[in-house]
Amino acid sequence: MHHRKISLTIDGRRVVSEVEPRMLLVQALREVFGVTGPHIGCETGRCGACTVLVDGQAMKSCMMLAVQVCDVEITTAAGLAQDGVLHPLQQAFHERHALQCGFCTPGMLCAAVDLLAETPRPTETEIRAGLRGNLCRCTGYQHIVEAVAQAAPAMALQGI
Amino acid sequence: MNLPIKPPKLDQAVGRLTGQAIPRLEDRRFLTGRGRYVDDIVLARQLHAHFVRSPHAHARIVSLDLSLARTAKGVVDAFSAADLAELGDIAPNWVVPGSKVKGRPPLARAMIRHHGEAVAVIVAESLAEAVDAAERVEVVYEPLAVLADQEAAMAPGAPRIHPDLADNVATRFPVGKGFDEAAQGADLRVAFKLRNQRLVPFPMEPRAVNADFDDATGRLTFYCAHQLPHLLRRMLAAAIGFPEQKLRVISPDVGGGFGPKMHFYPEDVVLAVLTQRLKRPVKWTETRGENISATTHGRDHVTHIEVAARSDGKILALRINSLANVGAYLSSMGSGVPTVNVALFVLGLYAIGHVEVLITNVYTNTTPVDAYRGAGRPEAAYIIERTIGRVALELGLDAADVRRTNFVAADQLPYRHPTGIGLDSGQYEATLAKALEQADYEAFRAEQVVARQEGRLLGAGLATYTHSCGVGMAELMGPIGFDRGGFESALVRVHPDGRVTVLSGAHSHGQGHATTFAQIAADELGVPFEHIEVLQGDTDLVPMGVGTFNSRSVSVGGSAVKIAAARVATKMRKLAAHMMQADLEGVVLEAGLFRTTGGNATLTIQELGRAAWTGQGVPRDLGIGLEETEFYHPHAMSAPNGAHIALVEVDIETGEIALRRYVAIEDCGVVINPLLARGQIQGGLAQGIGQALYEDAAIDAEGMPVADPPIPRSDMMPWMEIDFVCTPSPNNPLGAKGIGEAGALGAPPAIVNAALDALWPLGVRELDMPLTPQRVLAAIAAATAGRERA
Ligand code: FES
Ligand code: FES
Repeated sequence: MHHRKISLTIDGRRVVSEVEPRMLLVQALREVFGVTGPHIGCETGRCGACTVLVDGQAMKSCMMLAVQVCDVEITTAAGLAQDGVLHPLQQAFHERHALQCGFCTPGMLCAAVDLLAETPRPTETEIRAGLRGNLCRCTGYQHIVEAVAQAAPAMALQGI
Repeated sequence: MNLPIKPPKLDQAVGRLTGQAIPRLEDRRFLTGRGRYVDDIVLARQLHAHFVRSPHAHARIVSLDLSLARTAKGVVDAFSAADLAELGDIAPNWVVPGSKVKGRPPLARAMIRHHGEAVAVIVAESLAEAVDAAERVEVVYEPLAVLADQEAAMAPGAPRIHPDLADNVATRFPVGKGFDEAAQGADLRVAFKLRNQRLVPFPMEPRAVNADFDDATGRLTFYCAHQLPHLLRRMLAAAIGFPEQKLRVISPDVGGGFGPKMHFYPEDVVLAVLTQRLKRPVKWTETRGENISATTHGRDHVTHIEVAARSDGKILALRINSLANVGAYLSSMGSGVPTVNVALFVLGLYAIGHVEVLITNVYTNTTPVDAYRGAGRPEAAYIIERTIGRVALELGLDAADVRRTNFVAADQLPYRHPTGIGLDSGQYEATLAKALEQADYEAFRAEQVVARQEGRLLGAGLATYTHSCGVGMAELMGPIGFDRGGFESALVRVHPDGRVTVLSGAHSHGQGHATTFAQIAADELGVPFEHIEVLQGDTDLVPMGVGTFNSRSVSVGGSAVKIAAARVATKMRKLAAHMMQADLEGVVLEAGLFRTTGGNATLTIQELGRAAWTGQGVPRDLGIGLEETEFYHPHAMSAPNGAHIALVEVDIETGEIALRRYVAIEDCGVVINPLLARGQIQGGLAQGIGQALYEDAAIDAEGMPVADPPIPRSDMMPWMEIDFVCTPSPNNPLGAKGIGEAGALGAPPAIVNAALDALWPLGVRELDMPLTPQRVLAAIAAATAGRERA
């Protein structure tokens, strides 16, 4: 199989590489670019552990080929904190104990960023619906729901 | 949005840090995508392994040809059982006496006994190449009749899963006798059957191994997502004949465990051998499909219950006869979890004089079953709480009253059940009362009456639970065939700069030990909490330990930290007293500064640390350093307990169950960090609610596992109302009891009891989990048909 060239921005860093056409985006992020925040929990689009923001939209990176994402901007959990200051969602996840093993967390955060971009003041039902694509086996989701609700006004205030 | 967040009220004495709801110290790396799980580790000259697995659940391997695969692009080598002939079966770590042990073969030899059993392994330069080469492996199978169900496997004349055994029985475990005598004169005798269905544990991180043998040093570094690094080292060293001191197990961040990651697996042994043969690191990360068919499952009991009670609800005697499906082979704890962990706990919190239990472990053509959150105790809680619920409904009594009638009384504590299990402490009536109050139980009962008149079906379900946590005592573990220690290790070191390292043999896979153990140590040492770093999961670094399971980490591991830290604190004060020329009693340490209460001498912890680690100015009898190691070996376990209430509404048209409210009141003794304890309760509840309403790993008649088990998603979970009562355990220095498994014990019976409470007037008597709409509708239809016939 012939390798194809891709170039994209990951967490503000411009990268270029050659990948096999069949390589999944999540594999490229992890194995080619060493960005290991997106995790592989299923590789079939069911768990959301691989969720990243592609041009601001939450996407499951196991459901895309690396060659599909030329010239896009990808943000992972590693790119949410700015100058060492946690993003309001990261801060709220911390304060509300919305993570245990942390395996779902990078994907969950990206899904939550997208959720709050679409619905800045969500109800509990809207938060639960907005995160339904992201499985967490540790927390029972309650602290995650609390954290997203807590982060919403802070994000609105900061205009994120 | 207005979320009903209530800060927990804790009726416990708190320390400066112990008892405080402090966010976790370890969060930052996970929040910023910098967690380090096994699959994130890539070593120089890395090779990748891919296992070829059987699509059949029962078959003979007629032929297996790896020659084409071996020549595929990128492939280094491929192996079948014949190539690894030196390896024996994987030995279980818990063998209940009398069990007929059939361990998992590292690779299937001539027979396949469950779907997904590995027949070969391919090692290649890249994972993609190994996967591609698998298509060139030629295996011819002769499929055989499949026995997936334990009742079928026990039928007379059933084919044998292991033909050299007389039948499919792995273990027979009888406890107690005298049901018939004790049941004489009972006002009520009922017999019923229930099924505690098979579950897939489904940690979000699948299992993963990276095995790295260095032939220059003779050392093997084994990265593995595991709950018990030291025990894994022992089991692995024994299985491959490797010197244990040269085998280093590193379990970095672990993405959830829930039981299955404490076991010892075929892939572990195979990778440890391959890295030695190939002299390069070999990595394998389970796919989700493999996780579903090769990693151990949980539960899977079919239980017949007979109960005899007086008309006031007092239970006189109980008889339990269970068939436990242990799968095709005995996994690490596979003989003990369904027997010891169920039979001894079936009396819950109730003073029931006579119990007769027989549990039979049965081999089938299914994935091996082993510990999964609660490990046998959820099955026990389900049995007793369904029984209490049934007695209440049969007698027309209130479910809370029947529980009160049967509770072990406060003045009976500490109490020992006829099965031998001890209850150390609790306030069972008060805990139940708090749950009833929180749930507005009386009001709900009134609403239920009105709703029934309107044709709406409301139901209230209660469940209490208890189990033993903080295993345990070597004196007890030996006789039940459990080949591991019950102690836990801790090393506490105050560095010359006053900073602190805590090494612990427990191993967090999400529980947050780096925070709770730092809280415990900080209170003993008087140093700032942020100056303490807790390290785990590396057998070269941490003193010999046991690991995390059985909700034991705080009560055993945390106690070890407390004791070791207290010894270091004593030494610091002695040394400070010497250096400040003060009385020992007059020395206090606050925020890193020693003072004398009387005079005004001060000493920084750095001055003290430097003196201790240089020995300069230190009396010889105080010795060098500020470091202590404790191997804490408990004398007794604790019995956390709680009361749960589910309030449901059943839609008679669709069969859907709406969980209107869920209340859990927990007595887990002294709580180190209520924020984290709530997280543990919620996570356990999610798995318990998942079992009650959604989850089922039913294996079909062909032995095929369900491809996509319904794991609860955020919009499938109710808001959980959680609170605590605190009766400190007298059995460990912290007074802690254990909380990780609570939710998984309480939720299934609470929810099913609620559904039965709603459906009882329709004549529904039997309902098995998960309570899917189809199943509820079928139960209603069957009850209606039964009434019409009558
Ligand atoms: S790994 Fe992409 S959804 Fe599970
Ligand atoms: S924190 Fe473990 S899966 Fe979400």
